Amino acid sequence: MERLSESSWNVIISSIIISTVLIALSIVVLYLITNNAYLDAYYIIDTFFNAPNSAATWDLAQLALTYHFQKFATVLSIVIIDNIGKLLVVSFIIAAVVDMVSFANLEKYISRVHAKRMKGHIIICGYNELSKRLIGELLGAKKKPKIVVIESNEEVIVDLHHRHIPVIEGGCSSMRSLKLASADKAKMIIFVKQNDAENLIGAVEARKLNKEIKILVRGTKEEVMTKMYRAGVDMCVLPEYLAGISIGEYIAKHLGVQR
Amino acid sequence: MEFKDHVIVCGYGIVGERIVDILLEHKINVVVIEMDHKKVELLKERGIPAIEGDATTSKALKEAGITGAKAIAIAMDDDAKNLFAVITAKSLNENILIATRANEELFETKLADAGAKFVATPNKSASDELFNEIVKGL
Repeated sequence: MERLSESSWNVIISSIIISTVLIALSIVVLYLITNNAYLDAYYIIDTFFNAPNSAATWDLAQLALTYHFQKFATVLSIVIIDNIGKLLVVSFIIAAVVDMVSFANLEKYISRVHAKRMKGHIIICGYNELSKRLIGELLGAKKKPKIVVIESNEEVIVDLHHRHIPVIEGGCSSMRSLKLASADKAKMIIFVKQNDAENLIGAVEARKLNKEIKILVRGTKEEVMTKMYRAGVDMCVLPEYLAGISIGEYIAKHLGVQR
Repeated sequence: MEFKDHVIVCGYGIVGERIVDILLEHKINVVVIEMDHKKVELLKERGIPAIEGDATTSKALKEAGITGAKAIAIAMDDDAKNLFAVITAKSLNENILIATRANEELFETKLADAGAKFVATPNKSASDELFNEIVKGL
């Protein structure tokens, strides 16, 4: 069973309290009807009006009240014990339904269903400046690929939902997230985090799930590249290196033309 | 020391190091401006002229021979500093070729407006590279 969110726990606790109060009230009403308590109450009140100074009136009233309190306490205890299990089950069901139908979670469920059905798609692990650009380029391509993003930042997830891009909530190096993103059926996976270790672990996990998947990784240092390739990565890009090369080549070309 | 027809490289991080390597491969003279003393010493040991200082200041740029330089590559990891360096370089040498790095998309146009002829964004470069590889496999 999925772990319930904090709001769901609040719903569970509220449900238990409300249900307990409602059941207790219904027990009181049921008791009053089935045990002639209304009739007793009528006679007691009637006696007060008809013979208010009689000592027998007080005795009768005390006797009736003691009898009903004792009997009621027993009945209430039995009914509550009997209903505790039912109460918990009902509360969990209510909480699960509320959890599912809340908008944000509904989006997450839809994303999971989308990802589960996908085949030959592209998984992008991490949403940042780099992947934002990449997704923009891919969505603008002639042959638009199916994309699933794995991300843990709640704000980013909401943003992606608004852009109608399926997102799996979780860590990029987590086997659970990779499975939810259907990495076993995906064509490519791209790790774009600025954390080499996380990208490396994710790449190893992805390879375990799918021998055929093409793995592309962003690296931050040159020495990481060899480790990435050893881990089964098909391509490792170093953004800073590429920028350096393009600046160097631009200047060299420009100065060469001028000479 | 007088420098002439050289290229000034501001910042010797990952981007700056790559720029220096490329320019040296093309046998272009470079002068590096770097704040980190250790890096400056390392460059000098390699025989590469280096000045310890802040590339956003006129003093450091003049020391690196901005008036006689053909081009300047600004590769610091702070976009605001890069913008300052572009403006200062342009004010000291109107005809100098300026190529710079932008980390955020927002600064790409700002740097170009300030006088940079070429703006390279690490994320854009990587995104293009990845995109080409992805498209090949589709």
